[in-house]
Amino acid sequence: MTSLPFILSVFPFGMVVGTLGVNSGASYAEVILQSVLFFAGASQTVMWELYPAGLSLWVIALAIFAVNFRLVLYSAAIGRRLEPLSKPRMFAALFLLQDISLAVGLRRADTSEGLSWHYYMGLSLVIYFTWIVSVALGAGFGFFVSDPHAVGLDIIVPVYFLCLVMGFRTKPNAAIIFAVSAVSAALVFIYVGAPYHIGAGGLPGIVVAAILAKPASHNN
Amino acid sequence: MADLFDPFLFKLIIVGAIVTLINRLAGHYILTRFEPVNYRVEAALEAVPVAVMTTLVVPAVVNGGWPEWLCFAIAMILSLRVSFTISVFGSLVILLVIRQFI
Repeated sequence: MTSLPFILSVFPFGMVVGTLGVNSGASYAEVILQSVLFFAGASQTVMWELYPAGLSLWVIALAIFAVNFRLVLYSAAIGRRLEPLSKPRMFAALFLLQDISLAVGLRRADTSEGLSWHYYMGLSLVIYFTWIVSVALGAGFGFFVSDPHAVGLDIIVPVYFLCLVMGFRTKPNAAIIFAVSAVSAALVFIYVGAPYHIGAGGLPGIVVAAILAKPASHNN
Repeated sequence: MADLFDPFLFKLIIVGAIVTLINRLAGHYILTRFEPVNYRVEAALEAVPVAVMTTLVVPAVVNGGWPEWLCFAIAMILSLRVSFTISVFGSLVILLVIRQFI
């Protein structure tokens, strides 16, 4: 039941990616294989946008790496909260890591129950299979909504992330980090463009957090 | 196999998958080489969800107009008081109602 809002936000996005793949000239098998192996919607979108342009494989691979760079930060932030884990279990956990598992997982880690591997995997696998099914449906049937604007498809994912961010508001300096990231991401988005606003916008917020940090903050 | 998968596209999917997996593994395994982390690294890691996820909201704010800004403001206010799910869908419903009338 706690997975329901996540499924609702993942589903339309997956269908769009599936449709995009087929429209780029890929077979259903290729579209589904990509979702099984990538499980990273933004980079899958970028790949289907670049593939028909006839670019070299390594240029597209670099774009995929750039879009997914935030996963490097996610991995560092959540890996230690899952420790101690065996290597295969850690590998499985990190393979399934994406925005929702990071946010919900870190919130759970701060509660009295703590973040168990089973909790993390249960959540992540629900999202994983929802993703594959939604991409497959999008590839098979196409995704035609007469007016995506009227049903709010453009806004559900950002609102969702904003509410996830709000869940971290009690963290030290959260408001300052939020403001710095928002302003720097907006400037990069306007003057450079996507996807650079994610990395270039997020890093100043992280740097500010490090600068403002006080030693011996072992209170949580 | 040959007719299901285009050779270039198959290679691209495999390379893309490896690149994405490297992203997912790198952060954790690089960090464990520097344990124990000092308090500034600690604070930086704690800041990751707020700093990075905020940037994912930014394009919609920049490209949006007052109805979207109102929706985000309502989502933030609701988040202070009610559950995550109600915050997301409550603010979304308000936006959709506004969009019906403009």
